[in-house]
This record gives sequence, C-alpha cells and structure tokens, in this order.
Amino acid sequence: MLQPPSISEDRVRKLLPSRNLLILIGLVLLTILAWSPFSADNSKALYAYFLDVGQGDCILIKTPSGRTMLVDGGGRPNSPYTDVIGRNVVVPALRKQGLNRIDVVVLTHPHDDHVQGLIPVLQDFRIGMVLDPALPHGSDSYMRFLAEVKKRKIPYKRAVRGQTVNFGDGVCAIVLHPPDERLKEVSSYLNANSVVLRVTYGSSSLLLTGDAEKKAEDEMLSAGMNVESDVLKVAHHGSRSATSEHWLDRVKPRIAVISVGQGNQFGHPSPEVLERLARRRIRVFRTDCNGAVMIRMTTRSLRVKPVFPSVKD
Amino acid sequence: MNLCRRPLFPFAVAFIAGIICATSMVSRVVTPCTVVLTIAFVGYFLCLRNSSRLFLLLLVSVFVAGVLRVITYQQVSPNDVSRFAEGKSVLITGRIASDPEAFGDRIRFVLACEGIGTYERQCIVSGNAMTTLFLSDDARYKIPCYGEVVRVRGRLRIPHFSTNPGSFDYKAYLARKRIYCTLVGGIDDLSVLSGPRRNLVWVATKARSLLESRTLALFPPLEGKLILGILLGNYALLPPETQAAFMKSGTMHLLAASGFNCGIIVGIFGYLMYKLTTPRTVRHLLLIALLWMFAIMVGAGPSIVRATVMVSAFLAAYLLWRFPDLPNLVLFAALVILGINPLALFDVGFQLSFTAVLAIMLVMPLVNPWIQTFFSPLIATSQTALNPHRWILSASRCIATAVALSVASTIGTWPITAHYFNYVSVVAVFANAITALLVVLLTGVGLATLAASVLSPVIAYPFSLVGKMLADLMLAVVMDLGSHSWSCISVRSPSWAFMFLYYALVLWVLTHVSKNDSAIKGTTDAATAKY
Repeated sequence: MLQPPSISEDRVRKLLPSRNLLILIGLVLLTILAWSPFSADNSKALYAYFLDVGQGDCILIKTPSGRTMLVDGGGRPNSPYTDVIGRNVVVPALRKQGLNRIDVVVLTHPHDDHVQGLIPVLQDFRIGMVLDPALPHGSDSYMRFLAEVKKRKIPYKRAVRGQTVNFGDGVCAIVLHPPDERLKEVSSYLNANSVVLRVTYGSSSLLLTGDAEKKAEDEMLSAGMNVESDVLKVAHHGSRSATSEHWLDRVKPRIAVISVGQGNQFGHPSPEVLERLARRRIRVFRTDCNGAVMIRMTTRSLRVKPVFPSVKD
Repeated sequence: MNLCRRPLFPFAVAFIAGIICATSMVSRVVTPCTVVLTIAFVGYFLCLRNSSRLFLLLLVSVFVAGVLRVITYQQVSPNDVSRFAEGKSVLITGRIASDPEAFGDRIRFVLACEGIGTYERQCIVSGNAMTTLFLSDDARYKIPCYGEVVRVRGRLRIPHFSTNPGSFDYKAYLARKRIYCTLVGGIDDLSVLSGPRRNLVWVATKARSLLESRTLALFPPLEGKLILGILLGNYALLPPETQAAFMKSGTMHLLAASGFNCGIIVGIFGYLMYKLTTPRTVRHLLLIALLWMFAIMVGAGPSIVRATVMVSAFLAAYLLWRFPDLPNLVLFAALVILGINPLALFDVGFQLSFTAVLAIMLVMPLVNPWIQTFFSPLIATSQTALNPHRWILSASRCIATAVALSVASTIGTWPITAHYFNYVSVVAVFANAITALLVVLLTGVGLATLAASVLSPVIAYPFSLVGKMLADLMLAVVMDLGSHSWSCISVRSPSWAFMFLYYALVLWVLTHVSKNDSAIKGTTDAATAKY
C-alpha cells in the first residue's frame, strides 16, 4: 500500500507565510480599504453646490458620472485682493471634492463678482471648455480671465441660446439666454445678457440665472423657453430688478437659492423679492444665512443640505 | 530605531489620548468607547502584579492630566471680552500682545483687552481679541508696536465658522489660541496711551523688525521677502501667487521657521564660541538662550518651538553628562508643547512638524548608510581636494541626501496634507531636492550680507548681488514647478481610519526593516570579527 509522502513540520512552517508577512498584508489591505475613494458617494445623483462667496455667484454642478460644471467664481469688487475668493473659497471647495478637471466653466457675465474667482480655477485645474457670453468689457479681472484662457489654450465658446451641453449621463444643460442678437437699450447691458442655464436630470431641473434682470426674463418667456424648474437660483442676488411675479409663476420653483453677501451695501436680497417667494411658499436658502448650500437631485427626488440649516452664529 | 520602546512613548500616548477624549466628550463614538475601555482597564488592572499596577497608575494619571489640561485651557473667564461681541462698535483699551503684521491694506495683531466701554467709563475685561485695522491713505498714521497700551474703536464680533466645504475654519483656529472674538476698525480709530513694557519679547520683536527692514533695504522687494521667509519664516509678505506656487510645489515648509533655522543658529554661534574657547557649559547655556530668543522673535509657531525644545534638550543633555536620544527628545518636545497648549494637537502645523521629523528619524538611518556606502569610496578615490570630479561627487551626495530627506518627510506628511488641504504635490520631491541646496546657500549669503552691511554697504553689495541671483533662481524653480495645473493633484480627505492604519503600517514596516537591518549588520560584524 502506498504511503503518502511525509512532510516534516519545518517544511510546513516554511511553506506557510510568516506571521510578519500576514500582519503586513493585513495592514496593507485595511489601509487600502480605508482609503476614502472606496467609500465615496457613488449614488446616481446630481449635486449642485452654491458656494458662499459673499456678494457674488459660484455654483458647482457635479453629475452622477462625476462630470463637472462651474458656473461663475464669485469675487470681491473694489478690493485689491482680486484672487482672494478664488484662492480661499472656490479652489479649496473644488479640491475638497477631489476634482482635478472641470469639464465646463461658464461665465454668466464679466462683472467682477462673477469672474474674479474663476482666474485661480483656470490656473489650478484642467478645464475642458469655457462658455462665455463674450460681452465687451474692459475690466482688469475679465482681461486676466481671457488671458488665462488664451495662455492655457482652453477651448472657448460664445454662449448663445439653444446651445446644449450633454454630459452623457442623463444630465443636460441648455442655454436659455442670451439670444444671438444681444439685448440692447437696457439699464445694464452685461446683466441683461447674462447666461441663463437650465440643467435637467430626469424629471428634476435647476435654473441658473446669473444676474439676468426683468427684461431678460420677459424676453425668455416671450421666446417660449421652457423655464419650469424645481430649483431656482434667484437672479442678481435677489435684486428687485429681477425675479418678477410673472417669472416665478412660469418657473414654479419649489426651492430658491439666493447667493448674497452678509450686510452688503446694495440691500440685497430685496424685501419685495423675499415677499414674492414667501407668498408662493417657496423654500428659500441664502448663502449669507445658511452658508454654502448643497442640493442633491436624483431623477425623482430632491434634497437640500446647507452648511447651517438654520441661521449661522 | 524603535520609537515604541522609548520610556516617554506610553506617557505621550496617554497624554494625547486624554486630550482627544476631553475634546470629544460629546462625541457619540468616543464617549461609549471610553466607558468600555475604562471597564476593560479596571478588569485588567485587578489581574496585574504590583510593579505593573504602579506603571498603569502612572499612565492613568498622565491620561487624566491630559483631560484636565484641556478643561482648564478651554475655560473662558466670566469677564472675557468675547462676551461683549455683538457686532456693535465698541471702544476697547488693551495692550498689543503680538507683533503687528502687515497684510497689504491692513495690519493685524492680538490685543490683550483690559477695558471696554466709552471714553468716559470703561468696565474691566480680560481675554484677547484678534484685531484688524485697515490702513488709510493718510500717510501720517503710525504703525503701533508690540507692548504698547492702546485704545481702539471697532466692531467686536464672534468669528464665523467655515461657511464652505474645504475652507479655512478661522473660528476654530483662533479658539486654539484662546481668542474668541475679532475687532475690526481703521488705523485712525487707534490711539496709543502708553509706551511698551520693555521685556524680552519686546527686545525680540525689535530685533525682528530691524532684521526685516535691513533685509528689505539690502535686496530687491521680492527677493528680500523670500530671504525673510527663509530666515524668519515670515512668508506673509510674499505675493499670493508666489505663496500659491510654493504651496503647489510642496516647498512651503521652507518658508517656516523650523529645525533648519535652529541648526543654522547652533552651527554659526556654536562655532564662533568654540573658536573663542568659551567653556562648554557657558556655550551650551548661551546657545539655549539664543534659540529661545529666536523662537520668540519668529512668533513661536509649533515647528520652531518643537525644534527649539528638541535642540535645547539635546544641548542640556550634554550639560548633564547624558547622551541625548532623538526619539525621546521628539516625545519630550511634544509633551512640552501640548502641556502649554493642548489644543495644538489639532493644529495642522503641529501635526506636519512632528510627522515629518518622526518620518525622517525612522527613514534616514536606513537610507543614509546606502548613500554613504555608494559615494564615500568614490569621493575617497578622487584624491586632491581641487579635483572637479570630487566636487561633483560631493554635490551628488548632498542631492541624494536631500532627495532622501524629501521622500522621508513626504511619506510622513502627505496624508495630513491630503486630509486638511485636499491635495498632494506631485513635484514635491523634485522641487525640494533642488531648493534644499538653494535654501542653504541663500541662508548663508543672506546672513553674510546682513553681517557685511553692519561694516559697510559697499562690502555688502557683492553679497546682495549673489543673494539676488540665488533668490531669483529659487523663485524661478518654484514658480515654474508650481504654476502648472498638474503640479498637484486634488484628493478627497482621507478618513481618520485610513490615516491611523497608514501610520501604523509605516511604523511597523520601518521598525521591522530597521530590526532586520541591525540583525544583518550584527551577523556581518560577527562574521568579520571571526575572520
């Protein structure tokens, strides 16, 4: 009868991995498992971050597949520190999301409180495309913005009504304004020709209005644009020159976000606008009171999570 | 080098655990964990022998000391000035408790408040307020200086939490320094009531402003500011884009006063005193005094205090006829800093400084013999000192050591940088290897220029030219490496669990490698002895 070959205890010990090696493998595996990308949020949702940039606008859109769009960058007009908002608020917020590339950067109009914060973003991140209304404006910040676009050879597009940015994962951004023939004879040429975007994901939608004023709102409605949205970024920091009754009736938002600076000299947001929103029982979130506001949208549901749910401090 | 077997290690861990527990009392995770651990500890304690019981009792005492230190540190006085912070305009009398720093159109300093109210009537308050005064176009104003008693009108506010994801939390930062309110006004709203109290800090701040003004007079503005950053760790004067480039290239630590500056002081003054045949006791005592003077001069940040405590203890050990042990010195420095300010544990500067030093201490003994073994025979074969081949080899050895140091500190610090700043610099090792040499040269030339300027500006001129050239080269390297979108990559904040496991892994691997290394060396030595 054949006997199985005998294996000595020493040989068995040699074949088995040593205790130290097992500890090493265990530690390496645990460390890899604890690395945050594995525990990152992979839910199929669209995120919109309305950053608190003081008296200005800055909105980051992150699609379910991780594509990104940054609408405006905030800024501090009349300050010698032009990059302070970009460096201290926008860039850290983008880095916090682990972003290295922004697919689309949209400048709604070239006022300092929208453009300044974009300059450090162009310097620090890879940019897929810049969408700009290309309105004539000679401010230092806008010139620096254009110079960075040129220096870094970033594809540049003039925003025109009807353009569509399809992110390929069910998220689509449509330019509703300005028309090819820009609005003229208005109190503020730049504000009136602000880029207005409607971002849709399934049946949920988000309307980003820049500083578009009443004339722009009327023009969009008369052109038959579909403006109906769940979330409205209140135009021009809640100025009374925008967000008319008729506009709110057509947009029918459930949630309104006002990007506004605390104790600003313009008295924004206007009590009239707040009253219009309150009358329609629209939930209002303000960056001066709530800090940054995060909105999570799935194809069916919508959730709002501000930094300060009630009022800060 | 086994850090865990040092006698101070368990006590440092116990003290840190006490601080963490005290600051997370309300945490839903930490409190039940503490209760479970306490029950387990008591059970274990009852099963122990007498000698182990004593050791455990000591550990528990240190843990409790950590908890109590946090509680006493966080206590706010009933008449603290922050209790009056309602955003209204107030008139405050107090003493300037930090050297006023200029940031473009404003100056900032800590005001140790003594009274609050009106011009006629003031009530007594205590505590500090971070004061910011905006400078006016009127050139007649005078910048106040440290120690002066002043009266300021401004808005007293509670600072805000961070309102954006990833932004700097100013409120938490100030709270770690026991400052709970901010005062904002204009320079015209300030009046000086009495002159400064002339103490050691006043002398240090005067010496610092003298050094600053001399450096800025001797070099062009940008280069002067860079040299000031290297010598005194004052990088606030540099333009924001230059600071951003230093940050993205992972070389920001070069602009912070730390062990390098202590090394320079000990090197230069130690050598001079040695040449003057100063007795060793006097020499060491004088060096310790000089180091502390320098630490006060540069604002006593965590990295310079860590280095000063370490070097002072190192020098003191020789005075006591003891051989200094580096890991124990690091642990001692940590205990001293945390004893003074327990909340420094949560300061990113403290964490970066200690992890970098520990990583260097663990990695360099393993790598250094390789570098020496590779280069030393080659250098020895190039016989004459003037042989260019010898110079190239020596420079290569320096570069290899700089790369090893840079890699070691990166191993230690990247999770912390990723956690707090959400980026990892991909050019850091390369940038540090190049700039490390430039920093050494620039420090030498900068100090030589300052010393020569005391004799005559004419003698200082050639030095300043060389300094300018070196500073330009360093700026060019940093700006080039740090200005690309690929210079650093964004990462999501690693979890605390990841960081804990990562450091455990690094510590375990390095300790084992070093143990094996010693074992191999021991075997080789035995074999050599045999033959």
